[in-house]
Amino acid sequence: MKHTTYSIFTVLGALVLGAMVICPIVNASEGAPGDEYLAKNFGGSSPLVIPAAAFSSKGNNAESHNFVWWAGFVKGTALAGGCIQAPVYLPRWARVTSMWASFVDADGSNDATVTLTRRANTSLGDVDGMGSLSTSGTEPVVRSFSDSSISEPLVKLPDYSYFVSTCLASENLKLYSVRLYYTEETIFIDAFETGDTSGWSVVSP
Amino acid sequence: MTHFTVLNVAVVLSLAVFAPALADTGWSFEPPDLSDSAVTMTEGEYEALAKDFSKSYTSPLNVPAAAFRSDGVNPDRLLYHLHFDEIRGLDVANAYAVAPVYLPNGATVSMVGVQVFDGIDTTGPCGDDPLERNVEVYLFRVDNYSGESFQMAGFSTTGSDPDSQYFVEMSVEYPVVLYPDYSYFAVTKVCSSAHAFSVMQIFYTVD
Repeated sequence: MKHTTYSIFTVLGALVLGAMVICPIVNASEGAPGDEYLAKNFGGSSPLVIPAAAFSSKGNNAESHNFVWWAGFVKGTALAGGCIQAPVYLPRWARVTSMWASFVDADGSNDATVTLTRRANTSLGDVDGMGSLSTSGTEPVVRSFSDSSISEPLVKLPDYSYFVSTCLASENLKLYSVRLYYTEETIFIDAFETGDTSGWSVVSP
Repeated sequence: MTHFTVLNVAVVLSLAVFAPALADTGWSFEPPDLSDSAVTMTEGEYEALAKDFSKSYTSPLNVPAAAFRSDGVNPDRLLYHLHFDEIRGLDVANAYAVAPVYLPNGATVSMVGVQVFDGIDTTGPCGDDPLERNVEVYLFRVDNYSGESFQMAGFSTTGSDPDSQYFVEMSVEYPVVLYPDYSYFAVTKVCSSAHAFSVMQIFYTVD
């Protein structure tokens, strides 16, 4: 019995050490780092990490942003004034809980804002802002900024398209990634239990 | 099971989980190196290998030329060919295009393949430096919390070839996909209208 108890503690110790390696503490308050490491299904694992490489120019002033390809970030240039956007591919009926972004904000005059937006696919000009985060202060290191107050968080496909956008006013503003945390804890496929009854009818089919 | 057996299991478990972390070091903010082990394959060899790696039904992830866009420097020096899904240069200067890469969390990248075309020889546009006259392709990851970047695979043509070339890298650096720690992206460099990038294929397995 003595040996058995010793063995149990040894195994538990190894598992705890292993968990510390597999689940690094990246940010004490960002998402639930332990959960996403268990979910390995493509398209089904939160968070959705949108790399800076996903952002493209909105067209005019196309050289107002420069993706530094060997370093993995997009920054503004002296040709300030342009903006960039990236498509967001989330699972149907996912519920977005928070948005995070990694920035270097070493600009003493300007901050950067990232906006998550949905656009109705069947009605012209029907656009809803879902979330927004802004940088603050001035530090020449990578920092994470977040917004946990997401409006219209339920991902409704094919009704809406989703995208994130930002404008980097100078080369001292550098975006590395945007991360969207979400849950898929629905029972009914249309998330009926959340109170959204738009897909239901009192009329028998 | 004796306690010795359990102890052995514990040691193995510990090594298994620590090994990826110990191997997880590399360059950052240094000029990228091209992989020495990148090789070309015949079509038959490629198909046989692709079948083996494609046991996971979502692999490979294809990143077509249409997914790429200019890095923002001289964007008018790139030309995307709609009919052929190719990115080409315009005989002016080197131009870079980048694309996001979305892989399953926890996946292990087993192989990366790229299809490119390099039809320029030692003379003509794009300068006299031989390195400036090649098509290059890279797969990178960047740490979302430190900004440190890591090259996972790199490819380069080495001169003119009348046919499209398919390069593979089977010794991918930092092969385990970790979210939210890292972001992943692909890069290609072309110069000439006789340069073309067609696709990056990322083969992976999911436990």
